[in-house]
Amino acid sequence: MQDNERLDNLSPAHRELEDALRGLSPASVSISRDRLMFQAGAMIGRRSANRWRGATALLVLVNVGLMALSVRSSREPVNSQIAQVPKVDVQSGEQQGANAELPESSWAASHITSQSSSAKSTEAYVSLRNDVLRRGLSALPVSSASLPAEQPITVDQLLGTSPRTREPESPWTPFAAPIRSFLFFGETL
Amino acid sequence: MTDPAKLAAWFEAHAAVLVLYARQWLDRGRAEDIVQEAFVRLMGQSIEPTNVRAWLHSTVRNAAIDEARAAARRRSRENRKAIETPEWFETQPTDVLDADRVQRAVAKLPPRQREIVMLRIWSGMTLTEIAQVTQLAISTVHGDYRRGLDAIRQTMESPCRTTND
Repeated sequence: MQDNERLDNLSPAHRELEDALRGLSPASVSISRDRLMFQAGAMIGRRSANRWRGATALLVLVNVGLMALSVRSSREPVNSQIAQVPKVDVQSGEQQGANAELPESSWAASHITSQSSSAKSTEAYVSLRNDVLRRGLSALPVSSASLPAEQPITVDQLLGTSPRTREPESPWTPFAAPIRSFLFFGETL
Repeated sequence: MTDPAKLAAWFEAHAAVLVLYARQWLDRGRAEDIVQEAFVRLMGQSIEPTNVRAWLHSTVRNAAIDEARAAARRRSRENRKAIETPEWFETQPTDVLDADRVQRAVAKLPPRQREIVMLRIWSGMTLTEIAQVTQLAISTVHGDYRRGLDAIRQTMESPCRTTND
């Protein structure tokens, strides 16, 4: 609108000259349209390829970073401790004296590795184990769950019946006793 | 922007005018190269410009001025030679005006007036678009346009020089 208002101020001579000048057409160009289209397509292809190259480079960098992190974490120092454990004669079933000094040759060495965070618990466990091996079960801490030894419990006691007074309850009942004796090596658990 | 049909249509509509516009500063070969590069750049734009014609003219203008400056450093007379070289317009028997005389008259104009006249007459741009491309005020564009037309008319009305003069 502003353009029209301004251009309305042009004189008729100006307008006539404008029309005459517009009658001249620009010289034809020798630019090949096909070549132009080819160049435009090639440029777009290059840009797409560059985008993929960039993405690949980024992924490679991420992979290298992850590999460096994993290598670095695997090289961190690990706390190692050597615990000496007394050898127990399993075949004789005898445990060596609780307070007896064991010869150095009977000690087996084993490596117990642990992370720094669990070092204390491992030390406590090893110490308790050594005490048990030296002094027997008396070295274990007293537990409220321990019960006095009792007579073995029979199946009949568990069932609350006597074997002689039991009545057969099903056609399979006659077979129950042999199976039970086979499974439990007698009537004791 | 990857629509070849649009690019072809824009090329048909604006290529010749853009080359004429660039001829103010460059010879024909360089002008065509720059126009071609402008179309390729247009194709590479991720978002289509709002005013494609103005965008093309701005791109050609910047590239042509840069190229003219670089060429001026290499050959000081190249710019003047480009302007004086004929073939700006197609000569046809039905033309009201003589194409060579018009070219000389336009070439004589001060650079700013010449650019504004070419954008208005042959590129068909509005004063607002011309102001956008040339980064001038609309009032300046309008004043230069009128002065340019006056200068062309005076040049066209003056008698041609003859060999006897």
